[in-house]
Amino acid sequence: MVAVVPGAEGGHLRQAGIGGVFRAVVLLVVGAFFLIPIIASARYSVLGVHNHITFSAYRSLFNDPSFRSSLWLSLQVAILTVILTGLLVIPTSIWVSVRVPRLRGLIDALSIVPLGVPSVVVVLGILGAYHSILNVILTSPFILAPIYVMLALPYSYRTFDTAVRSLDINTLVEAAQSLGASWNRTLIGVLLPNLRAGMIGALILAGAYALGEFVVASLLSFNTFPVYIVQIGLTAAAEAVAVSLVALLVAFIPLSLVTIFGNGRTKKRSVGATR
Amino acid sequence: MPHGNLRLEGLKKFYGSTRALDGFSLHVQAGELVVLLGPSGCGKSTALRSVAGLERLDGGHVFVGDHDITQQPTAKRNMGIVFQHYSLFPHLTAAENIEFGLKIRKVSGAKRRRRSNELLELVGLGELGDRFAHQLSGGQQQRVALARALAIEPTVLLLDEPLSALDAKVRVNLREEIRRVQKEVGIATIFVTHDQEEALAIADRIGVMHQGVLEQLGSPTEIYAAPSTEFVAEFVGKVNRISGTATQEDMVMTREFGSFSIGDSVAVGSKVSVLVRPEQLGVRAIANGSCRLVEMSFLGSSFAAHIRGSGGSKLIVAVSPDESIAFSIGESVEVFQRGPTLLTIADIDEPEIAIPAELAKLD
Repeated sequence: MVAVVPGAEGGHLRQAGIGGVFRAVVLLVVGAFFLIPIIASARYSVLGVHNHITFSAYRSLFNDPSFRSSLWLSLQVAILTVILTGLLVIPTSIWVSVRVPRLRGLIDALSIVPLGVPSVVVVLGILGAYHSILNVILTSPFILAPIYVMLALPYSYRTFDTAVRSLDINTLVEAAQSLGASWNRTLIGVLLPNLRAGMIGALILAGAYALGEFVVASLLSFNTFPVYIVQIGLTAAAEAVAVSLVALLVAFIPLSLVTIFGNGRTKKRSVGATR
Repeated sequence: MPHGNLRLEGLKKFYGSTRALDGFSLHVQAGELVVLLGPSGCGKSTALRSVAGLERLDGGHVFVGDHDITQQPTAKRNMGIVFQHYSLFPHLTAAENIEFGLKIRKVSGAKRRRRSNELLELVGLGELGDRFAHQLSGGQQQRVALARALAIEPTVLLLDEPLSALDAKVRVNLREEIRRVQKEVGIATIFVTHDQEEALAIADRIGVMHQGVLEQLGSPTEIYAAPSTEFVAEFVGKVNRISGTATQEDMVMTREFGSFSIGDSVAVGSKVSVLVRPEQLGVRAIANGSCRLVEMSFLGSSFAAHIRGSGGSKLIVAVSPDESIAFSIGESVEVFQRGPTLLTIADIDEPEIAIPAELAKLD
């Protein structure tokens, strides 16, 4: 879609009418591509016997205690993943840029490694490495959060690091320090406000990854939301579709809020450099 | 806050085997503007950055007044810095940028605003306090950066090639502005640049740097008219280098351009090169001269006459527009001396007396 827009704008200069129509068509096609499956799912989830509208699927869903417990578990794990990602990725990327730029290539390479390692291997590795010494930890579902932090690194680290690179971060740091700012002050008062977009992007990606991850949770036998969806899909088709729609809403509402909120702030403060 | 003087004693900074600073010393008086001038890689920026504490020194001391601040971190040094790259905080307005350092010093809001307004006026941007960096031109951004650096009432002002990202006209304007503001505030200032014209225009004193040491320190006129080394003579201003043989202690017969009286005294008979500025030479047309006028280039206020000698050496002579009319390209001319030469250097490449090979190597 991105590739189409400049073309439409080029046409806009000469033939505003055709450009407008073209844009509308693109929007319609792309919109239909995303919306039709959702509408179809929604319709299927409320169709009962003889095409009667019924919300029984949703009712049984909300009455199912493991629906709520799995959703709650996934949210907790996702929040923990977001926090840990922030604590790991933000200081690392900034520190590498400012203090040890020659390690940048290495850190970059390390951040993609999780893409090349299948989740199964990660799980087996973790079980093998920690099972004997940290049995207690492995029985807590929160062990998932650090695993997700690592697995989501290719997305979260790169997103944030791109934002860091788009700033002349060394000069900003030196300017802040020359004015008497401590490291904390520099980070909170100067760098993070200018890295807001990258930071939000990175954290959303990490959170979304944690909410949607199935393989690791399933292999470690934790009943997270995606695991629950798969399980219920085996027995009750309508409920499975209903639960997917609920999941979509659960993801969509906070994401939209963050995007609207984040953009609004960004526009008001007019941060040009980070975008 | 009293503005201190700045003393740098034997600064050393090595990057592997490269000596960026090799025993660099400099005193800057309160209220004085010293320009560090030199080609890239001469150590001038390293010197400035180590004054600011942005580089860790391998030796030497930095004093402000009587205080040795060599070990202090940048944040505690209270020095105002303007960087070569645009350094305004993009998420803050011009006024908020200026107030940043004051906020850290816990100055009250009303005081901060008063101070930022004063400084915006001082740098000629009274109306633009609520603009963000990307809404300002490069020159305006550097003005705000200057105001921000001055807001904290620094003991020393450090300007690291603040004009090099700007285009020529803005550069000339802004350097005069910087000089005016610096005089008004009366603060010890180090200004780093590779632009000799800029240095000559604004400095109280110029320190010409070469390979990590101060090659010469002096007023702009001293540096220009009486360079102490060949490097300074050739880096600041245009200079001709003419080789010849000393016929008297203060007279050199050049091979292609006639004889010159020199300011230095040299051994009679020694082979030397004479350094002389184009404006200290004159040129006139004569019949059957050994030199030719090969080109006349227009420089605005004067012309540069390019002269070729019989042996192929080239020389540049400054010619006034009135004089220039009389000449035609390809004409036979002779060169004469109008003013003093800069320096006379012994030519070690071509010794007059054959020196045994071992001794020659020691040179």
